[in-house]
Amino acid sequence: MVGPGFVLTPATYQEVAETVGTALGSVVLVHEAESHPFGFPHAPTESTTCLSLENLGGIVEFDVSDQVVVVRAGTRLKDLQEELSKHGQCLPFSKLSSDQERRLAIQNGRLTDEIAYNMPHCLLEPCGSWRDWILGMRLVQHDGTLAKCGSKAVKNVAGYDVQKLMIGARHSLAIVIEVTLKTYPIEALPPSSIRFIGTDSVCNWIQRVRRTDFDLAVREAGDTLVAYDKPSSTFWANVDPTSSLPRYPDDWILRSGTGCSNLEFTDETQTRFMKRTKDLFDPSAKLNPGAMGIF
Amino acid sequence: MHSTDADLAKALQGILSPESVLSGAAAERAYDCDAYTVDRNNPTAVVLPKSTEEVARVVKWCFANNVPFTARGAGTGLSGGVLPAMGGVVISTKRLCAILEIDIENRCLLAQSGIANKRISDAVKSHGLYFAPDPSSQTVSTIGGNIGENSGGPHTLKYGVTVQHILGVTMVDPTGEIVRFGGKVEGTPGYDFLGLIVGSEGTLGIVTEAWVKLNPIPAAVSTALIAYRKVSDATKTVAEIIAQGTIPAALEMMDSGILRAVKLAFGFEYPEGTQAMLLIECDGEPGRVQSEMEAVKQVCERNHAIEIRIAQDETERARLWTVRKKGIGAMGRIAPSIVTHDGVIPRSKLPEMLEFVYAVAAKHQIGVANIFHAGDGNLHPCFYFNDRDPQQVRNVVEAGEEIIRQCIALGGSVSGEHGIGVEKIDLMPLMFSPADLDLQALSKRIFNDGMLCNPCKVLPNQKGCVEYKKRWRGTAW
Repeated sequence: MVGPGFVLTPATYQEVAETVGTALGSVVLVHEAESHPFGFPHAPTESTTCLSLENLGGIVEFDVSDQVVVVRAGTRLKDLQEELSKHGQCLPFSKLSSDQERRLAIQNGRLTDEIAYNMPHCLLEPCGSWRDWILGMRLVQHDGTLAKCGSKAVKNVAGYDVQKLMIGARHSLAIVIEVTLKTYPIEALPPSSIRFIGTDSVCNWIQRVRRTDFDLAVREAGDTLVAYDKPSSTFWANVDPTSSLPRYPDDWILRSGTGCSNLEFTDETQTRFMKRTKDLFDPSAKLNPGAMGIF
Repeated sequence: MHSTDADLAKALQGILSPESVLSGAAAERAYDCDAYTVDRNNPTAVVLPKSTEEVARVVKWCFANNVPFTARGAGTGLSGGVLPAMGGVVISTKRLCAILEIDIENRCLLAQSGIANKRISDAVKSHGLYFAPDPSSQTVSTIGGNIGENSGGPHTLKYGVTVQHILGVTMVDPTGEIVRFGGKVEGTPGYDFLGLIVGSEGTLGIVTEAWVKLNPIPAAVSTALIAYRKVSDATKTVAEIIAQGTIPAALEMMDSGILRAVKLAFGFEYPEGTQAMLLIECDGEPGRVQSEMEAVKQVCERNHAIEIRIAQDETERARLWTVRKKGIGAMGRIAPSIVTHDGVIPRSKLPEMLEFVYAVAAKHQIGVANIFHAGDGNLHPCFYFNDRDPQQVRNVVEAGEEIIRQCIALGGSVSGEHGIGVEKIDLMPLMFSPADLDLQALSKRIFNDGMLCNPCKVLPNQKGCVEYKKRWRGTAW
């Protein structure tokens, strides 16, 4: 059954593949909350297949001496962290209080969504991001084809790194159903350098600038500032949706609550190749239509 | 296609200056392979452009005239990645060797792609910064080549491979258009084309300039060389160090074959009966370095180390690193040719994998020495042989394939840092299903929908490559 209000919850990779492959209209990944705070999904129509990976969770394999975990992509990030912590391992996100998470609009998302949105975090500078931790993936393509990319090796240059294209792609190129991740020893985790300002406001604006522009940008953010992380030159702010903070050379922003302007692509080359990529990977524009704001 | 090779060279001389175009027997011989010497094929001409615009002019001409082209840096690659598989034009980046901008405050540098890796670190050393990826060939291998292969090196265990240190590139795409991705700020939203381009072995276009990230030189460094009587004691040490939560900056291993070569070449002495050595480096804040090295020492002692030599100064540190950095070069003392393989396995499988490597070499009656990035599980078995003996060449190729098959069976990969090139192209189906390979082909088509830009690399069974393959495989088969 498809359409608004009905959510399909496949429990195997094959079921996800069949669901996506046989969908006649668009396929949208749904979240427990109405949508990701920094996303802007189109409203489902009668022909939309709404899909949740809530039944596709759990660790497939984990070897602490290799520091590699294979996990189904419907697993919640916190559940994975809890399981890894039993072995002294983690994904190197900074430990934040629940109030700090609320202020940074961090959800306890499923891995498939966390990877799809690739939000900035507070240990980026010393520990990297999803791009550095993901060794391999299994995914379902627009026509229901199951494929994998990468491997379980911590170092691998065999073939094209298709998995990197999926990070931050907001489910618009394929549905990620399994991830192989490099884990990090908790003991080696550096302290977080994030600083929170004030006590209440929640961010709806994330900006990263050059190191040389950071101090000025934070000053200019003034009362809107929620938090900042100097090593990665990133700050979080609460900005009126009708206004904007000053922009700087080479910077980028992510917004929430401004529709298609949540994501901003001003570079013509980037936009052109993104459109070409979408045409190749999802020729019928079936997967999470509108998710990138430009198609 | 132009009727004769002379026509082609002449046409290229009309695009660049005559002294930027090479052709004839000497050029063919010099540019027919990289450091993987088993497979060779002659280019029709070689060009040496000095700017992105000159590269674009050549590529545009090749595209318009249906002439294959292949970019080449220093030619230190180990998988035939710059072999001109269908002939045509080799586009050398050796004259693209300028540093265009140094931005100390933003910790980044813009360089042309033909610059040697180490020159980048040399240029910013006085500012307390360096470029982290350090392949053993770093004194000559180019940043463009490092980008093509997503090169690693001994310090990737802690600092990551090339892709983690590239902020942006300027690339001439396969039609000759100049495109730019990334810049001074990391993590721009949108599809990660930079992540796809780095490691694509020059098949998506020709990178002509790159913004690279600069890291602060660590405040303290401690380097130790540890000797063992048994190879298995060394491999167990590696697994235990990682399992206890220590991430050294480098964790390298050399076996007795390498040590013998280094002794012959550089007079390096080591304890009688040593079968394996580990080189372990910790870096960072002084207090942390000291405690990490202390923890490392305890693991080494538990695993029956017979000597632990810790460098007391920079001179001694450099001397200890000689064993690792010059090990492969020293193999020239033992045999006229070597082929270095590059499989990866989960590091917990190191003990059984090394035993397998020795058994395969014995079975094929060829010599083998091992020098590798143990912390990453990235093996480098070096087969030494005479490449003028076809039987020895066949044995080396077959032994290599057996090792790679075993790497995959143990959950590893066919290549950790050398790339697929032509060397491992037939092994890709061992690791990837047809659907997986189709997905990769799709990502290649984003930039390269034809067969002109570095053809017949990475993906097996490409149309039009079968006939050419018979030529380049000629030396072995």
